Amino acid sequence: MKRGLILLLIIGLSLFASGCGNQTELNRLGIVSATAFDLDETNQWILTFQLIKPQSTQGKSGGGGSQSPVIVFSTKGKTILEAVQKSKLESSRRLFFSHSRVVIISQRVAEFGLNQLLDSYIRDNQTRETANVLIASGEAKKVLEILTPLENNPGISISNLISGQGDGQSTFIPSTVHELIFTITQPSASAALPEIKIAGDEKRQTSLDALKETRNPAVLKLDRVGVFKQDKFAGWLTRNESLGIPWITNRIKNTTVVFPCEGENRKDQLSSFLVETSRTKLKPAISDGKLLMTVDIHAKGNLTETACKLDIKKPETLNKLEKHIQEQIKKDVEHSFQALKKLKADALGFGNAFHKAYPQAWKKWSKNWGNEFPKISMNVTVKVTIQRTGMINDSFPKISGKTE
Amino acid sequence: MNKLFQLFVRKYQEIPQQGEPASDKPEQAELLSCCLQENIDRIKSLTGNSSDFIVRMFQGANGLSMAIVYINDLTDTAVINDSIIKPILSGTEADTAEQGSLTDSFKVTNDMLLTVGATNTVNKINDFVSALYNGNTVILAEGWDHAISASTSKWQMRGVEEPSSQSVVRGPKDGFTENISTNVALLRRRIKSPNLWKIDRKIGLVTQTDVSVLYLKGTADDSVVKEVLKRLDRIDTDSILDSGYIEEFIQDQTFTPFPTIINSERPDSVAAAILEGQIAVLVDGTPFVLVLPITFFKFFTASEDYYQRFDISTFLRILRFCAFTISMILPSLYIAITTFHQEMIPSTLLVSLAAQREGIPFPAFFEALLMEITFEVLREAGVRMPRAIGSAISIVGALVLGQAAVEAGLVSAAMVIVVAFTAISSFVVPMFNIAISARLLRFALMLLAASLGLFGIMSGLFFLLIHMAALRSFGIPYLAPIAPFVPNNMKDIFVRVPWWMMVTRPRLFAKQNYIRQKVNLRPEPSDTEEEK
Repeated sequence: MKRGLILLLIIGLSLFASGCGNQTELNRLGIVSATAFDLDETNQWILTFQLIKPQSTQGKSGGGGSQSPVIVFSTKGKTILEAVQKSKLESSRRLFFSHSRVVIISQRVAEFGLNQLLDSYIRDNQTRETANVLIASGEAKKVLEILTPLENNPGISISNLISGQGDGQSTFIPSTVHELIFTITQPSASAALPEIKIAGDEKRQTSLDALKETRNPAVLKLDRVGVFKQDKFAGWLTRNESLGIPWITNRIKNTTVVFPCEGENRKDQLSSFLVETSRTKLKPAISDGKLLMTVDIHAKGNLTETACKLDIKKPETLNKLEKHIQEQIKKDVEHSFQALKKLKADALGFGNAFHKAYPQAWKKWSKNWGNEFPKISMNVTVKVTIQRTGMINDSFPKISGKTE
Repeated sequence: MNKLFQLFVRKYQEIPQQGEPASDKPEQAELLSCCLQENIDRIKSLTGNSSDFIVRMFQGANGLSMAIVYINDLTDTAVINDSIIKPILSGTEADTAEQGSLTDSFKVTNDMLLTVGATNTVNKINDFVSALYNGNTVILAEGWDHAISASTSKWQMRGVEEPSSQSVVRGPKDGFTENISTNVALLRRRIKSPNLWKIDRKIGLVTQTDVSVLYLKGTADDSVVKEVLKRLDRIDTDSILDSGYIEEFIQDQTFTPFPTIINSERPDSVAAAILEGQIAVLVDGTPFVLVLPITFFKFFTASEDYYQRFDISTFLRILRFCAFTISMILPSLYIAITTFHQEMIPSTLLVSLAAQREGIPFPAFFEALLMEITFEVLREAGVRMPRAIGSAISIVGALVLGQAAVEAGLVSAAMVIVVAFTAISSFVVPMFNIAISARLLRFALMLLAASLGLFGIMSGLFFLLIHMAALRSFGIPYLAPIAPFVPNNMKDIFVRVPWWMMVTRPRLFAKQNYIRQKVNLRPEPSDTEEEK
């Protein structure tokens, strides 16, 4: 019993002696909501942190509208960690990275290579691999200075922008850190990251006054897609060129396909098709010593808009429409493939598919996949099923304009 | 711990036990003498001639000089007048004819004259006195060397009321009272079986408190009954004023935050416990009846569980376990997560928590401690204060200490919510004494959380679990039927199965005779074809 008492005493006292270890009170934390990486001319890292100002979110007790929701500051260092350490000279609070949802890299950093960045990112225990990585064509730090009208916190706003891509919008480029790492570590695959762009007058949007206007002087928007070879930037795909990527990589969730409803001759009469589910199969093959990739797409969805006079009750009409949609999807896919061929970057997972199908031959190809990839000929087969046509049957142009 | 404990005890170990006043001792064994006056004098001197001590001397109808002795406030004067004095004074012809010997007169008085229910012969001073204090009237006569004690007890007491500590929506509303015979009656009314055995003890040299052990013979474990009696007989103290005294004397382990004996104010839940093979210990002077042996999970059953439908009972039971856990660890969890593991909080919540903490001068641990202690003070004040100023306390508590403390920037609003939710959760558990243990452990866990974070909480909980696994209640493992796992008993732990499924009594308590009911009692639509 005496021994137990002494043991209890030792344990009890050591609790106090531990000095509460790595304990930090919430109001000593600088919660980082987004980080930006730039390189200056001398290849020094410039790190920019967007810190949440908790006071500003306090609803009723004053603060609210009068303070900027975040503060942004930059530090410079020869290595990334040096720059992070230097932040302590400037910030009264300990930087806390666990809630950083967004990493923005400048094009210069992308061209320099992501290896060092990713190494320090996954080596740290606070940072999360679920953060989104985006490229800014100009200075990355400028992006963090933009205030967003709807979300209090621009970092969260940007990350919602990306996760919202899945539904309703056409491109969804995976851009989390772990997906990026996953792609980069594959010898053949190329990573693709979305571009974030400041559209408008960026100077004015950094002030809280901008939020008082109904139409903000500048907005953050997703635009092109940056394609990488290994960890280095290879080039841009325009928005239109990037439309086909999610089709091939089987990442379509909810997307709208705009298609001409009466064939080539009546291009002005366009319709929309909302894809609900889609499945893509890649079937690699070798024919006559050449690599052939068959992309099998099966999409199901609803007709959501049409400008043509159509009698949708008839199955033939639907069949015709489905054919038009198939054409459009095929066109998008081909377009993206051609663009990527030019960059010699396989962001479509073709390398993987061939690796699985021809493990022996792959050893030969993998050494020079950048040159093999453009030689692939692609064969796209699309099957589209229109499941529903919305609340009305006949198209409204047909209902209203009986005579034309 | 025991060493510490012995500091208090050691000093008195040399002094002979039986710490009764020495003057009482010689008289105890003494017998009544033959002379009336001598006996009366002796009783008078023994009781210090107390004013409520009434001696009425008279001549019986047979000419014998007699006396009745009673204590005024403990007896029913009407009964004394009508059933004792009247028959003796007006004794019939037949009696007077036989006034020969003294033994005859004793017999006659006892057997033919007295019209009270229970009478008793006493011949020791000791018994004489205790008969008096039990409200009996003692009849003495010149020349008798023994006396008749007639039961005439009556005193004012609280009637059977709804128990204040464990109320129910549906179910019996009667509760135990301070009177042990009423309490036994309440149990006997429910269990009309000759197997309900009752063993009496008188404990407390000065208070002479009645203690009864009730159990269902043939169902309860006889060895446990024997053990209970053994532990009761060991008690050698001057007073027992509540069952809490007994509990502390007979429980398995003193230095544990967890109680190993349940107390209940409800006759129905005690009757149910007896029927399952548990043992009830009733103590005179308190409505709280001890039930033992128990397991940890018994603290989470309310008697209403068995009166309401089984589905809601199951839900409520799981709710109680959650509430108990919350009341124990929520403040420490809050401290640990906000000071060590901020990455666990969703971003938006983190920002709002951080916003609330802006300008709070104290660390989260101190903040929590401050609020918890404030709440404990409030609660204690609420229990002890006169009822009339109850509303004042609630205003002070809710407004001043809650809202004002937040607005003054002393504590954060989230902390007030945490403390309030913890407090409410601690009232969900039906048994008050297990809620107390959660209340104490909360502070220890908060300290652990503040110094080691979640790791501290986990190690604290592990320590508790190890401790609980080692606890026994009269030989029954405290965590049974989870550890050791007794599948047969699981149907009344986290879930309460419908009554027709409870075929057996819990095997933990009922070692023998554990079949409760027939197997196929599931209600079904009757086969009308057959009836025709």
